Amino acid sequence: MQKNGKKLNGCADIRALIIRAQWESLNSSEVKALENHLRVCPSCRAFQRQIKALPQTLRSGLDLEPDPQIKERLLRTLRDESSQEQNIPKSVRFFKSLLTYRIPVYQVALLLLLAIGFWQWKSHPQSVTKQASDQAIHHEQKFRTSQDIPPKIKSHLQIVRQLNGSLSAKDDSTLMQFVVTTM
Amino acid sequence: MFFAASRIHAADEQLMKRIKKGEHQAFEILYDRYARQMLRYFYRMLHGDEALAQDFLQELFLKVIQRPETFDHSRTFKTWLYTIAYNMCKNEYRRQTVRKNYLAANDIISQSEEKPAETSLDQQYFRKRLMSELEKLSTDQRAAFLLRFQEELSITQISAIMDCPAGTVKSRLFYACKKLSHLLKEFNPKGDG
Repeated sequence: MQKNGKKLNGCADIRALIIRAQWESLNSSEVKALENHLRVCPSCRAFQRQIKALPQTLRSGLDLEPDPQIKERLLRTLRDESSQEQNIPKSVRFFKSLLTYRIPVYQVALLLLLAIGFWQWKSHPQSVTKQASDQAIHHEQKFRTSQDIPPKIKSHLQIVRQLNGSLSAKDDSTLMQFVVTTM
Repeated sequence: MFFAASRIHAADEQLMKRIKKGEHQAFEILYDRYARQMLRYFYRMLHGDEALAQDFLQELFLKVIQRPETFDHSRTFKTWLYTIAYNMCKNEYRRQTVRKNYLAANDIISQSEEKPAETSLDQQYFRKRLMSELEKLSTDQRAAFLLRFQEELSITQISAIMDCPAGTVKSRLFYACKKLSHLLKEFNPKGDG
């Protein structure tokens, strides 16, 4: 019988299988090798018996009894603890229970970080937009009064007007905002 | 009568909920269910020191009483209890207060394990030697070995208790068994294969 190209007939290999079989199931070829070997090897049969009897061997003769005083002491402690608990006002008990509640700290911290990050991301473009809008209004006023619109913007406006037909005053203002922010 | 019986057969996790409410009876049931096996576990892990094992038993159940809120309901009570016990033993090793005199430990084992109804002298001697050789394993190997073979817990339970992957538990068990079989080879002469 072969396992990973290694012969599985020696006592050492078979004993390793006997040990492994105590917590996991062997494959069919390993089972066959084990059976074939055990049929002819009394030493490994004895080894298998010893391994199988380990729980019994470890427990037998170990007639330990817990000290009866331990139970008494523990029950007394439990009684004391519960009577102390009764004396605490209900509101304090509520806050105490909140404190002792198990919170998954890492997960909460991660969620908090994500929330802060999202808030930052969300608030940032808005502020930029507002700033750009204010700037655009300022420029628009300036341009409209001085009639000094740069030729580049003029040509942009012309192209967009041609594409969209006539634009209202409101549309014109939005367009101006767009052009200024993209400058 | 019916209610009394149902209380006794209540699941450990249900009993823990009752302990949180301060029910003494629930604690008594849990204590009676686990005290003996936890004492046995401590005894083996603490090199056969019975007095220390009794102290540890008390400390363990005191934790159950005083900090029941630390019980994670996604796990079984048994696994949780063994996890606390395992960590207590590990801390004890770290504090270096555990007696490391194997001979002394052997004396304790031989005194407490004498049993007149023993079936064979060979078995008695084998067990004594096994206990003695167990001391030569590393803490993690010994813990894995005892949890598997003495307490008969599954690999999944042991990996949860020892907070390591199942593969690590298997490896620890394998090398513990291999080392023990080598140390105890006189009980099992090597075959000709």
